[in-house]
Amino acid sequence: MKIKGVTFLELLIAVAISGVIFIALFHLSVLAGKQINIYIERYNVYSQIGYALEDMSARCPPASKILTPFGSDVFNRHSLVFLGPENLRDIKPYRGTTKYKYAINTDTKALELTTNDDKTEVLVDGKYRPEITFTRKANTDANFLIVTIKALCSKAGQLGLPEDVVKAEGIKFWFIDVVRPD
Amino acid sequence: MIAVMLGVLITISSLMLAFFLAVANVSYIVETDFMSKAKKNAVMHSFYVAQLQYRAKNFVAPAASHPPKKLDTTAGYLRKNGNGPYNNLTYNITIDSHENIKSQVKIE
Repeated sequence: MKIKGVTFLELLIAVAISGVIFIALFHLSVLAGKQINIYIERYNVYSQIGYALEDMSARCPPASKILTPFGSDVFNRHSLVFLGPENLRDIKPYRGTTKYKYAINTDTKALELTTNDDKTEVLVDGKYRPEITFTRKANTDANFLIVTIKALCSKAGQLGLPEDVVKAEGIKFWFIDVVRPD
Repeated sequence: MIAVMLGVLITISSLMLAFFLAVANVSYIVETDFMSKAKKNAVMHSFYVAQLQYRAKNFVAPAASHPPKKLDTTAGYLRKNGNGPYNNLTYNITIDSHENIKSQVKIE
């Protein structure tokens, strides 16, 4: 039986075609990897903001005293300090003494929860440059606040997605008002 | 040709095996996440009810040395993920003589 071989030209063409295919596949996989990374980053930002808002909506309502109250002319704050119960499953109306502070750390730029001035928990990483605003709207209940957290997902622009991720939640305090009368 | 066919067959069968092995874990993770979320929401809801009753003076602290007062409430039925059976979600809120309000959530 006669075995048919390949010519040198055929071999060169085959190598060239497979090279093009491999390069195309490589670029496709790099592109897909980049997109996956961007989506993972956006998901991280979303879940960290969600976690922070969830923590606030559980910790703030049973508060017993606000140490950074809103006044008749103060409608926005970028940090919130208050006293509340130590254990969120054992509330003490009007008598919680544990100090909580939600604020941006000026060094790390992270959104942190500080308990009793010594224990710190990072809620949103500093690399996402989070911003937090506690807003009291005029003509709403004196015990109601809106918390807005904005974070930056810088890579999202590469996919045409908005770079800012913003989430907001309303919080109603049970035992106290957030406004201190003048 | 046979080697290529064998390769494709092995790849497909390993992918299918990995998928079927992962299904149980994924469902467990989703179920656990769902239950913990449901419990957390129930705790928040129970405290919401408790503070309303407390401020309305319907849920007052017992006298010293008396056992804590209870407020048993049911939050209704909770559907398991994936159209499974229904579970009854109940919580009981207690207030002791020091006016400490506690909540216990139970899913049957």
